[in-house]
Amino acid sequence: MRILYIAIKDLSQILRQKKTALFLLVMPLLFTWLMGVVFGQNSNADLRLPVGLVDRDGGVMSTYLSTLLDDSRSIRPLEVKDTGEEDLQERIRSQEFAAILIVPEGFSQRALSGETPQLILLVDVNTPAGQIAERAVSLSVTRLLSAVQAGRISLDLVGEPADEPHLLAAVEGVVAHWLSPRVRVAVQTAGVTGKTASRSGVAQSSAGMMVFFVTIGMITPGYILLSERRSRTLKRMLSTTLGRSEIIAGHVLAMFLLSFIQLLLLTLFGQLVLDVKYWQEPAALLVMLSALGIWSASFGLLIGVLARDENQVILFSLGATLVFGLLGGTFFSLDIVDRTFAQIGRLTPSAWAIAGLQNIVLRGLGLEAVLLPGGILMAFSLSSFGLAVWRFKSEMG
Amino acid sequence: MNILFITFKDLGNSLRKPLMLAFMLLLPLLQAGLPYLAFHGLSGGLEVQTTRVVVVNLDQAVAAYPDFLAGNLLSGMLADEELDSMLDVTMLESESAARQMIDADGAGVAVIIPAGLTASLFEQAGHAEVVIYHDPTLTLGPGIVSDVVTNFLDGFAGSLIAADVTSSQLETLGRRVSETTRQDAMLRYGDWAQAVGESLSQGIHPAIRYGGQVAVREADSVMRAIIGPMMAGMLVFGSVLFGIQWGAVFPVFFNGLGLALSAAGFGILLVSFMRTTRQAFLIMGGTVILTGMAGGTMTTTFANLPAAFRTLNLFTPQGWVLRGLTTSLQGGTLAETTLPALIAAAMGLVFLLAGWFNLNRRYS
Repeated sequence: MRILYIAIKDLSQILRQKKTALFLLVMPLLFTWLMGVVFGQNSNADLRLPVGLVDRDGGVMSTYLSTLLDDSRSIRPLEVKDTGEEDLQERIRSQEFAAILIVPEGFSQRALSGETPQLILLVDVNTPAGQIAERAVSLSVTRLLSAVQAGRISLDLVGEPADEPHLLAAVEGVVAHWLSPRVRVAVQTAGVTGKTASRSGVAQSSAGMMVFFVTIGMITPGYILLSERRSRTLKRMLSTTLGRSEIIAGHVLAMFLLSFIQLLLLTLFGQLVLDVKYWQEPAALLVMLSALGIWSASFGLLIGVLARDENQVILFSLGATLVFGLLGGTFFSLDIVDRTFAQIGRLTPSAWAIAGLQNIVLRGLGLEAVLLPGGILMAFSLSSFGLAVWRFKSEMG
Repeated sequence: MNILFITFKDLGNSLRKPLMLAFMLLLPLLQAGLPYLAFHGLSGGLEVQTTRVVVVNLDQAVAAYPDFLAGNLLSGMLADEELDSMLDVTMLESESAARQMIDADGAGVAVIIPAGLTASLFEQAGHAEVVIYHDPTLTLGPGIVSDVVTNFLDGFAGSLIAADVTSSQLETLGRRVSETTRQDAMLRYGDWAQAVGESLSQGIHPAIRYGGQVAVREADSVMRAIIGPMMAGMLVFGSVLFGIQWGAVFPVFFNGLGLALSAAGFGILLVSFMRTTRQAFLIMGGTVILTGMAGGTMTTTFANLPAAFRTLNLFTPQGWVLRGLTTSLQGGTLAETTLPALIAAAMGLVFLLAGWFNLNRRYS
């Protein structure tokens, strides 16, 4: 019972401050919503990367090129007024376009006369968007060249002259075939069978934000413990019949409840506002939220025990948030980063937490799939808790 | 003169404390350095992770060509030594087993080659679809596999199109379509496709040339922190540690100045609302993180951000400074880079006045 009293005391101390509510609730919700906007957008919107098309040619081949570009899964061509290369470069810099393709004057004529015409591609290949756009443009341009080639071959075999009218008719036929080729790739995303699959980007960012805010929230328990130590409240508590273990358990319970409630609210927000299906596997979700809450509480306790003043609490908490957040993949998916970085990142508790949440919201898996990540989070929690208790005991004699 | 004394006192206080230095240097460097290492590798270059791929080759030969299987060519290409570092390929017999493996996070991507792939190349109306089934948490691995498979299939698809167009032209002319003519079209197209493929494999597209300069952007993440007076130091650190070419001197200087002014003004405004040290973290940390995020400082590496988000960036000083420094990094002109710096500085001035007003109100 006394453990509960300590927990209630901690919670009322935290919740008495209005700004704490801002930090614990409003900010996480705002961030999650913001990231949802960035990643999710309207599910009906055309999410393909915009690629500008400057048509200096105005011929039939540039129309076919536009058709083939529009058939791409990853880019959508948008006609752009020719305002000079400098200005066009600027529009790529400002991220208005992932790339801009310039069709030079005389392109159609050269293509039909058997030459290999040169298109000009403006792209920043150091960006992910630029790389995707470059690959997609390359594929469409190759298909356009192949249309001319296939047209020539067919005219030759049929015995028709390869003059412009005949060739154009043949090319038109080939382009139509390219829009629905007989052998093709179909990309399917795995996920929930018989349930609504969460939109990947929103789900990933929502899970990442949850882990990020739980980590950053460790600062609050750290402060409480520190202020108790500095005001000698802790010593006075120890002079009563309260045992050390009861004091620690009370604090950890408060920290856990705080994180757990924060996580519950974030999952509800994710489910109701962002359409991330956290609650499709309630048992699995509760296991993950509990494990995450316990880890946050144990680590917060460790910070509270290790820090000697407020600045150290902030430094340790922010440092841990940055290291766990950035290494663990809360801001960017670990699948797109460097191999060694990802290997190290996957060892962090935040990466395990995200993996467990992804098993629920993206893979649609149940309780069994969260036992390993949840178990590993518990192992991290035990280590932090053990260290904190050891330090606490040695400090308090 | 009094102002100077207060400035020196503040600077002396800050620089005497190792913790303050850690705040000003260690945390921003962590924030900048970790994303840098994530996308540039720990050993000087990004090493793409290996994707676990399961290939199910259900393709069957046709009676006329019992020794030819397109599915074998495709699975062989995926398992080729050249792709060894990127794809870890395992062959499976059953499609359902492959799908289950992906569902249970046992592999990243499944390539399911249908039974009729080869047949579709020889039958006049045959169709085939190679399915790429991938884990929903992955993006890069499925993209690589999709590229390899699409390039492979495009060779066949183009050959079939050449044959089909030839056939339809002959039919239009009322002439008979022989299998030899179709094969001839396919072979001739195949020769052309092979030549183009060789050129592409060397990174040269025969019909594309790259215009203008390729911009340097690798340091975007370094600009994430608003770190006030330490900005100049951070710029130097960025150049030394990460080899960043920040651009011409004046644009960088003006943006550094804009950043310092906006950070100082923003800091004073936030401080004017604080009553306790604890609130310092809540207000300062929270607002800086939130406005940083809204300013786009944490999403510089993301592709296809919505236009509304880019507009939202401009309501924060971070957004303007980020724009100025990015333009400078990419070789923008003095005018292009100075305007964002001026706006950031003006925002800083407004914040400063608001903070001053608030402090006056509280302490007068």
